[in-house]
Amino acid sequence: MAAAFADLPLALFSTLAPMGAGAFLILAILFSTTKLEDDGVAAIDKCTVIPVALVIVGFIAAFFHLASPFHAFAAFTGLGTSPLSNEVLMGCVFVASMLVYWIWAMSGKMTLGVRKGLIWVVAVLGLAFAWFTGMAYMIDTIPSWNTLAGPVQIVGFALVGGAAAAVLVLALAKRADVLKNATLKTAVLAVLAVGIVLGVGGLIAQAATTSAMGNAVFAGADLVSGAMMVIVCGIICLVGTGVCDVFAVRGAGAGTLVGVSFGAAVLAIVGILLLRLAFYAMQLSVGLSIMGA
Amino acid sequence: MTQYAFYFNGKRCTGCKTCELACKDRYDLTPEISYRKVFEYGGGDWTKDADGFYVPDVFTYYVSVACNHCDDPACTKVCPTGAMHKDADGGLVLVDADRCIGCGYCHMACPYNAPKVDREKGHTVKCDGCAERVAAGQKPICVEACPLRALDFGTKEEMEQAHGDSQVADIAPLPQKEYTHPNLYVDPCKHAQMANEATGKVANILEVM
Ligand code: SF4
Ligand code: SF4
Repeated sequence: MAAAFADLPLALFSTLAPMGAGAFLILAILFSTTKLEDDGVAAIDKCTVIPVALVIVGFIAAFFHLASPFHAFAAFTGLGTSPLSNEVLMGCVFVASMLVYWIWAMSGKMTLGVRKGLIWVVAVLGLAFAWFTGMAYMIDTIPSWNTLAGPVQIVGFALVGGAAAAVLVLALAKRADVLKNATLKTAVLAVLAVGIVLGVGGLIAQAATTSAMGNAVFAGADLVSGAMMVIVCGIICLVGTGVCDVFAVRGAGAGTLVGVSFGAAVLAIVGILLLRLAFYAMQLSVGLSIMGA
Repeated sequence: MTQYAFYFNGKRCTGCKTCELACKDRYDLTPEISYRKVFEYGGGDWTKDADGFYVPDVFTYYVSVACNHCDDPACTKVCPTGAMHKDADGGLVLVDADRCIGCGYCHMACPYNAPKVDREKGHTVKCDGCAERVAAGQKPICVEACPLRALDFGTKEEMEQAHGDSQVADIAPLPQKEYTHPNLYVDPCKHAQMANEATGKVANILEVM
């Protein structure tokens, strides 16, 4: 398990960026279903800096993982063949759409019609980016990663983490009232639940298949048992996110809302990060690839 | 097209690691990086026979491996920049240091543990088959250093001719050859296990990281 910490920058990237991306789904549902006054919209736009920052910090972490970040423009060369090139392209398209949306929205010149269209584009691209991030680990010489359970996990984390980030945006924007709106409440709860099921379910499915594998260096079962405590803590954190956010949308008064939704977002970051580290710890090659080495 | 290949004779190798060190010396490698590695592979058990005697079937053997300049390299397939590429002339798999971003994807994908990101140099490094020496008509330094003459290098045809009994590497602890089609011919020692029915473990992990 200790060797997985060598991949900390990548684990941070695959935690923060998809989480920020997922928040746009809840915002898209919000703007398509709820009527808001102008100052409410402006406050939400301002607080949208949170998911934007999560995405940007995630990308900066990935940048630090590279030994030569200044050659990064070359990373598109493998488009179509290298899953990493595909991910980088998808990531850039998503980030560009997100920045266009956010800067335009902040300028105060975006009509409601444009907003409703553009934010769905951002949300869909964000989820596609999360999926491609997971696909980048599907390498046929690493059978423990070469499973759709990988992308499913990251999309799940994007949903649960994104819902937590979006609830925090609304709490900081002092829009407790919209959170109590029936459609949005249902949407937040559904996205949280689906996210936890996909994220945790995907990881457990992957751990189960990894336990049955082995190579000349590691037994898969040893990798899984080495990561078990981390997996359990990660799952507890994500369930904690769910519980806090259920409280945020159902009962929390204006006074406790910010605290509860902040707690949910922090638990989401910690929980997803732990489960990402567990994912890295379950790297099992068909041959001699030795992680962190 | 010419395709260069390595040859390894498991019947001769004693696991002395001269090949590994000659390479480290030639390329001035740090303790963390080795282009060639010697894996110690062992396993076995004790079983009770009909007369009540305990009979051991323990074994250990060595396999010296660098990059195998594979025909279907896992590393080039995943490389996002094209830095990891197969040279058209001799089929050697080489790193273009000016393109490499040091993402380490090739390191993850290669099942022979060959490429490694050198953060100080800012790019991936690995065995290039001593391309310079080969161009000058010499053999790679590891081949010439081996005191047991357990290694050889040349075109695929030369290796097939000179080492008629050898087969494309398919022994443990290496992966099954189908994954990358390595250009490594092996004369297995008598205890060698096929990659798909291996029961042992690498015994010197810290040495080959
Ligand atoms: S041994 Fe590894 S690094 Fe060398 S060509 Fe094959 S896959 Fe690539
Ligand atoms: S580290 Fe360099 S050679 Fe290896 S996959 Fe990344 S860009 Fe390609």
